[in-house]
Amino acid sequence: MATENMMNQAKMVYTKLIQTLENIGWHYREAGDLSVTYTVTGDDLPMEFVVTIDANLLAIRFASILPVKFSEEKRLDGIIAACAASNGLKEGIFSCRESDGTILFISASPFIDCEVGEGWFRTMMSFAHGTVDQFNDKFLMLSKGLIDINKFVAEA
Amino acid sequence: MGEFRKEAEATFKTFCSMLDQIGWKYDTDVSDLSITTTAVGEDLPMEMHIFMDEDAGRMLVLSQLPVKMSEEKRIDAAIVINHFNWCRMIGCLDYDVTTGRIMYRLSTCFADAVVGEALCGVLLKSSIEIVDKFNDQFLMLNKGMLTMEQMIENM
Repeated sequence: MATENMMNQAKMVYTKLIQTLENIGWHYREAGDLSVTYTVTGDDLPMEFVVTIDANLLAIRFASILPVKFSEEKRLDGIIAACAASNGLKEGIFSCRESDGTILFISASPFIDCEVGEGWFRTMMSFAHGTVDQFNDKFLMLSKGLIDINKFVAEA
Repeated sequence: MGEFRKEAEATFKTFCSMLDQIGWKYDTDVSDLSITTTAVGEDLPMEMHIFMDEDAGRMLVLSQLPVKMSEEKRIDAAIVINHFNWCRMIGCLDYDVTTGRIMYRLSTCFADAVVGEALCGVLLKSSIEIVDKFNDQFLMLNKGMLTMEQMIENM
């Protein structure tokens, strides 16, 4: 449970996030609970992101659900692909929800006892967007059987 | 020189200062701003490597788990690791499905930021806790002494 101090720190970081988005000129929507959503156009597919300031953990989280679902027959491919795509990343992780084959990307940074500037948000945004952009089409092609898991793993 | 060299040097100093404050033994390589330390957990010793990536603007805490999953157990490990990683905010398990190697990874951004000692302490503590919890379990999974279902249930 976030203390008052933690909540105040989280709100401060949220305000800086909004300022950063405004300064970039980014279209976003405030989603409540210290969260914003926005869409980024990448090389191939549009990417929806939810950015949340977590007051309990004092961390920022960038989350993106990829526009792909692995069928039951291909679920294991989705799981292995998530592991392969994540391996060696400097930030962020892909995972596959076992119940329905959804692929989720999360990138997070705690900010306990830190002072953060606009560049902090911009750097994380750049990494998160770039990483999802790099892999979203590959996950889609794998889910549709256009590439096989061995090719995905070899190129990850 | 990386874009975030100044922040990397400052964060490196802060992390070392935190370790000094708690009397923790460690080694450093100043040329690449890295720190190596060993923690003794419940079961197995854990080597932790802390890197300041001045190009990416991120601090990484890495720990290689002392297990190489056999080919027969590689899929089981992938399912367990994927389950662990689902919705995880701080710290994750990286898995090389081709070699069976598992690496714990935690990273945080220091670009255009001043990182405090408290954050360094939290990152070290949570890394040690997670690695300590799972390093023996993956060994047991590999040896067939624990099932994938049991590991997931324990999470």
